[in-house]
Amino acid sequence: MDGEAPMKYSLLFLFFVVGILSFLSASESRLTEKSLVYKEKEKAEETPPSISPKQKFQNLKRAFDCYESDSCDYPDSDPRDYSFHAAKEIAGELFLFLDDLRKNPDLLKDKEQDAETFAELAIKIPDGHVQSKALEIYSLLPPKRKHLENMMEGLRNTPDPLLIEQAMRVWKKYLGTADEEKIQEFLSHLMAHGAQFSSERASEEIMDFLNERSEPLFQEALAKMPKDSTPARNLKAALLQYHSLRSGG
Amino acid sequence: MKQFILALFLPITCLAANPTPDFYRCSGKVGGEWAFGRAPNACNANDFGSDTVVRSSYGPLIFSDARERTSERNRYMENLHAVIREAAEYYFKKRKPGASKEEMEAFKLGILTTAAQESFWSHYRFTSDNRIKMMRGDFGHGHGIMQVDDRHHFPAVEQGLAWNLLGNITYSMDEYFQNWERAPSQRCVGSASDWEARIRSAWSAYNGGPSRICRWTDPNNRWAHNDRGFYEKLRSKSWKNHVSNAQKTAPIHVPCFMERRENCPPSGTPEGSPLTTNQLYVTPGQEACVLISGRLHCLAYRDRICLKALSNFTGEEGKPISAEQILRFPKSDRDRHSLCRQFEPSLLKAGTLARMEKALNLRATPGGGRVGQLSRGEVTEILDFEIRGITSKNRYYKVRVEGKTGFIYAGNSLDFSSWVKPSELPYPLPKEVARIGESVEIVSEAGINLRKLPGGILLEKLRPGTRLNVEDYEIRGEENHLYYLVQAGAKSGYIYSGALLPTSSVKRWTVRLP
Repeated sequence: MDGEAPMKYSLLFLFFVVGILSFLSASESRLTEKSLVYKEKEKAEETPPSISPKQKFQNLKRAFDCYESDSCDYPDSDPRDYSFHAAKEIAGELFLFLDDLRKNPDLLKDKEQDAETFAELAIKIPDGHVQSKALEIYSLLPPKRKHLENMMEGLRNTPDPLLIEQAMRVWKKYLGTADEEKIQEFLSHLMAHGAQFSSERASEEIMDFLNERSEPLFQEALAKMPKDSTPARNLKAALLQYHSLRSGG
Repeated sequence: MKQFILALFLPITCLAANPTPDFYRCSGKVGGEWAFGRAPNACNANDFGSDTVVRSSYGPLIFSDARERTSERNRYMENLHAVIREAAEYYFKKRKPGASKEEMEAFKLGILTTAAQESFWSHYRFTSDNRIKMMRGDFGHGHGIMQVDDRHHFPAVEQGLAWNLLGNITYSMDEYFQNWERAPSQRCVGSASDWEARIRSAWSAYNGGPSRICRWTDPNNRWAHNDRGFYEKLRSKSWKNHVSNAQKTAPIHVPCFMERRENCPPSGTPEGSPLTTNQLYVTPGQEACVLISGRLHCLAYRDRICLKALSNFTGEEGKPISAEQILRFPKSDRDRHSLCRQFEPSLLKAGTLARMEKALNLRATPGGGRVGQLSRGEVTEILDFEIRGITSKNRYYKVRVEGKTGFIYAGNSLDFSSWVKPSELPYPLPKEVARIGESVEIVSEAGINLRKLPGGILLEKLRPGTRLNVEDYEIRGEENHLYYLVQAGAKSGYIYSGALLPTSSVKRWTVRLP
């Protein structure tokens, strides 16, 4: 009898220890499992699931539709909130599209049609960030008359001098082509009749567009501008520089 | 203001509206009343630009709380009506010179109503704490008469464009005009000559963004009350109750301010009295002139005080003279650089490398909005100057720092050396103008003429690729034309090397050799 009690207690102790160990082991497993799940979730959140090109296209199309329809679920706590958020959505989606193109330049061959479509839609939206993205797309595309016409139509009355500056960089690749005259006409009209700050910026950056073909056009534009306007002064200075460069100063 | 556009002067783009807090940079906040000239709230105007500039540029357009209210309101409104009217006319004629008179009148009405809706024509106000305030609506986000929003136009606000009365109006008219031109193609505008619909559409887009151009037709829109308020003002034109002379000439030179020229001349009609010596005059072409020994000596109006080096006139405001009066005299156009340094010898020459003797604010315009800062000890190249005050001779230098161009205040005739001094250090090198002793190479395809003096007798033509040592340099003219004094073989003379303004063309002529 005396020998059984210690055994019983030993067994109980053993069971107890095993039980504790099992519990701990199970807990650790749960923790590990939980951590793994947590980490996977974190990882998922850090690295969003890759969006298919088709989905990206749909997202962008939706963003354009929301802008036009004025009926999507964007914040509207301020009169300009909706317009701003709708434009921001478009600019964001275009940013992703451009990011793909930059990372994989060969993609442009397959995506040229999409790029043209997005740029054409975006350049018409009078929001600076959206139009800037459109100009970035156009800077990647080969020069085409239709692209130029879209850009000019979209920027005709822009009040944004940085868009004009960006557009003029894109248009340099049209110099020497059959479309050069369109650009010169657009710029001469812009300097004479464009928004105040846009016309100023165009006149500051006009030197690269001055050549023997455009000089008469710009002289004509200058004659019609208010003499003391800032674009007129800048254009006059640019024309003098142009002539001086040809004669040696 | 209702559309997000990119930075105006600085190459900043951002993918989101700026999270500007309510009443950003709003010291000395005061209330007001929903009546013309005193809409709530207002904050110290010098949070965004110098009060000296406001007083000297826009004195007649500051609403004074110190004066009897009714008469002050009438005085203020009559002056401001003239300014808004002339601004809208100048603007519209420039944008659409072939448009009908009816369209011009409709556009003007749209602008007058927008100013009424946005701020009850409130911009600058002199308040009981003896400070000049600027109107700040919409929890401080709306700045000034057209309520330029600091969340959506943060760079423009920072640079002082919203603080400057005519900058504010012009900036806003650019926006409004864009909507004006879009309106005829919208479903809510029956025809291009449906002026009322066009005015209302342009404003709905101005207030709610481009996609909301037809918002005024939706009575259930969340913001329909804004459109109702605008329409009520469009119909009542209640500002007319305070304007007895709707054709009054503006008390300031509106086109000069709109074209962002510095130190604008007064508006005014020539009296026609004979010209005399010791009198400062202003021409229709915005030049300042003095008559000396039967000859007119003239400078751009902004530099008028420099004519004091030649003439003993008093006062700083020129008396208007007509084009016919000018034609009666031979005229000399004086060079601002040499004359202003003759007037004030301590003025530093453009091209000088200058060391900051204290931390200085970089401002978009002299006394205007802050765009950056230079630390004590920093060295930078002077690109241009402005000088103000016959006695004080306050000077501002135009500099470019980290891609930002602006003006630093550099003291007056007594304390200038405690602000900015010429740097004697060999580094950093200037960005534009070669230092004396440096070498340059001619890159212009046609070569450069070597002349005895700047613009003087031709000595010989120097070919592209010619390398020359710079012995000295001159800066001349409004565009800061650069001339290097060089030795070419046995001949010593000047070569032209482009202009520093408005954008530098120096590198089209010469490049500096390491």
